[in-house]
Amino acid sequence: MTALSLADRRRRGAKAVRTRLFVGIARSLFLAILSLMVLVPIAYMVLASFKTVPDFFGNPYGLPGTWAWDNYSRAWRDAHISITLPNTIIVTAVSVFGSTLLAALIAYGISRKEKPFAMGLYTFFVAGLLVPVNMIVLPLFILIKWLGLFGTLMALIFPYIALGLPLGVLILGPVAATLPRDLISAAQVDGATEWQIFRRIVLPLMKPGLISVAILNGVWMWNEFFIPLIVAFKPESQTMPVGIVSFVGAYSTEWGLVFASVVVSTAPILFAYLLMTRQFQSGLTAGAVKG
Amino acid sequence: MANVTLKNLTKTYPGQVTAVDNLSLEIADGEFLVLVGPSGCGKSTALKMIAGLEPITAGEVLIADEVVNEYASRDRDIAMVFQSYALYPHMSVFDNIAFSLQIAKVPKAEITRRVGEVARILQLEDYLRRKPGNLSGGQRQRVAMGRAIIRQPSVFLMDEPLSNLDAKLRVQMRSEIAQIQRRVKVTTIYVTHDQVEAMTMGDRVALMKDGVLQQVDTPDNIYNRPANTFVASFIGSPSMNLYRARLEGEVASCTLVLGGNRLAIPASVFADRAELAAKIGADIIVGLRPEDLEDAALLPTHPADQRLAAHVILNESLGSDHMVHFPIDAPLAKVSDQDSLDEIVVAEGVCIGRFGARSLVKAGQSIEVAVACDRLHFFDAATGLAI
Repeated sequence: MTALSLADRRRRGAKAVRTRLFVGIARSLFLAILSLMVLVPIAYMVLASFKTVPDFFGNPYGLPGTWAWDNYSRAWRDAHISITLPNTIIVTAVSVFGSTLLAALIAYGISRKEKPFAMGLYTFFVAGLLVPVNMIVLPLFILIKWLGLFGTLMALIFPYIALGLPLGVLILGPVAATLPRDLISAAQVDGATEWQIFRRIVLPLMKPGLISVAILNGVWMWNEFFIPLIVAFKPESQTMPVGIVSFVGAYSTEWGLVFASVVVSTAPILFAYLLMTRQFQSGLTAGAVKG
Repeated sequence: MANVTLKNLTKTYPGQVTAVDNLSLEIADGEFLVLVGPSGCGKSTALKMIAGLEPITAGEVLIADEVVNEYASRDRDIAMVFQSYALYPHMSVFDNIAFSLQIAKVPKAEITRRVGEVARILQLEDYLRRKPGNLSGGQRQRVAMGRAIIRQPSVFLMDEPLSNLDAKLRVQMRSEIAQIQRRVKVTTIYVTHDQVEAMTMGDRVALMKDGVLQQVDTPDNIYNRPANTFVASFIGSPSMNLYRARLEGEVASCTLVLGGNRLAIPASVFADRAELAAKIGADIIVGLRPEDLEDAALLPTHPADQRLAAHVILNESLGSDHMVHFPIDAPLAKVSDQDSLDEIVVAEGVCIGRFGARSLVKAGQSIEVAVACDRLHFFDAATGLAI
């Protein structure tokens, strides 16, 4: 092996610095483009929510000519946000809680491998992801009518809980499987009942996974349009996505009001995500590698 | 406090794999019994069956003379220390220790008092607010002990609680656990694969192999009177040297033919072993403990007919003594223990002797080895059982 001269080593060092610089710039550029793809529509939505209809069409991408703050008060009044927002919050909160808790129970049960058919059960629940909502909407309509739930929020809560299970079991299954078996045994010896073990040991340890499931399910439950359009057609049981559509007319649309409603509708979800980003990310990767 | 009785305890997994086979044991109230054996011998499975964490295929577990087969773990009045410690990572040290009392709805003031007491005994007072993730291995081990002690159970079950500690800490914790057990006098069943733990901690040692109990006795008896070749080779480090040999002559003037060597067997050996005389003329297995072999140069008065001619191939000096390796041309007695590294050495036909610190032997030298023939061990060549 021949020793490198000082000049050679300097040349190599300079080349390595240039390569690192280039990779750094390329990476930053790529991330900037991705960020813009997310942030531009949000900025467009917020700006459009302050525009009048002529301003919206005359100057679709610029700042509002006059800031129409009353879009928000009108949206609150005309789109019945005062009704649809609480409805959406209640339906999403109860459904997220119900489906996450049930998914955790199922995932934990399946992870206790001594139960026969565990893999079959896991596949059965996760296969639910393959079923399109449009396919089940007619039987759902008939079932809800038969149960007499039309006009109540339960008409949305029950289907949402059921539809949230596949994703919940998919994410929580591997999380539950990586829970150390000795911890469960230790709790048994310590005198805990099965329910106490689940509540005091299993649930806290699955927390990152639970938060991921809650956010992922919460987003689609909050935004779901098709099911509430079919089964929650009464104004008092409508949710925000359906309420927003009331601004869209056959001949004219109050786009400023539509976007104001969308901003109000998006804000809570965005806020929740920002609050729990770290837990969300660790929940998605939990169980991916042996800890 | 309670005695524990195992009656024909058996565990068979699907596929007819028998992990524990017909295990019967009587553990007295307050006794410290060590269950020892190589990996996969069924000792942990037996412990889990006692704890109620593993269903029993056949047999009975009795705690305080009551059959507990159908009892849940929480109803057996036991506490268990796990190999992994199994500390709840989301709880503080205080909550980990207090968990069983919280579950039992013990008043808060009483919980605080008892946790404080246990923390004082285990020197954990400064760590009660920490999470297990912020503790060292030894501290975690003490928390696991604290969690067991605080319940004041009838029986302690410990599943290799020291195996995750480094060597120095293991020695320290070994004596701490033994002292705690002597202080609280709770019946303890301690599982380990480490023979040093087994020999130093237990009142009695139960040795298992392939799910079958081989011998249960005091550490001294296990060492000095092994029931079979497996026990003989498992207990002791380096392990006992086992060779096929033949006894010739008669009781008064018996000779052990060990390959090309002949060793005079004192008549006193036969006095202790009634069946040995009948084996004269037959093949047997002879066991030589390394400490019963010595550099003959250090024992000039040792009888000439109790010496082996040897060629040293390796001398491992430990300061206090020397581990001297030399081949013997006798056939080996095979003992199946895949975990034992000593077995590999023995499998190569090498005998190990523990020579005194003053020995000057070097690798490559031809020497004479003095054999304490009155301390030889004899086993049946067909069954491997002690004679």
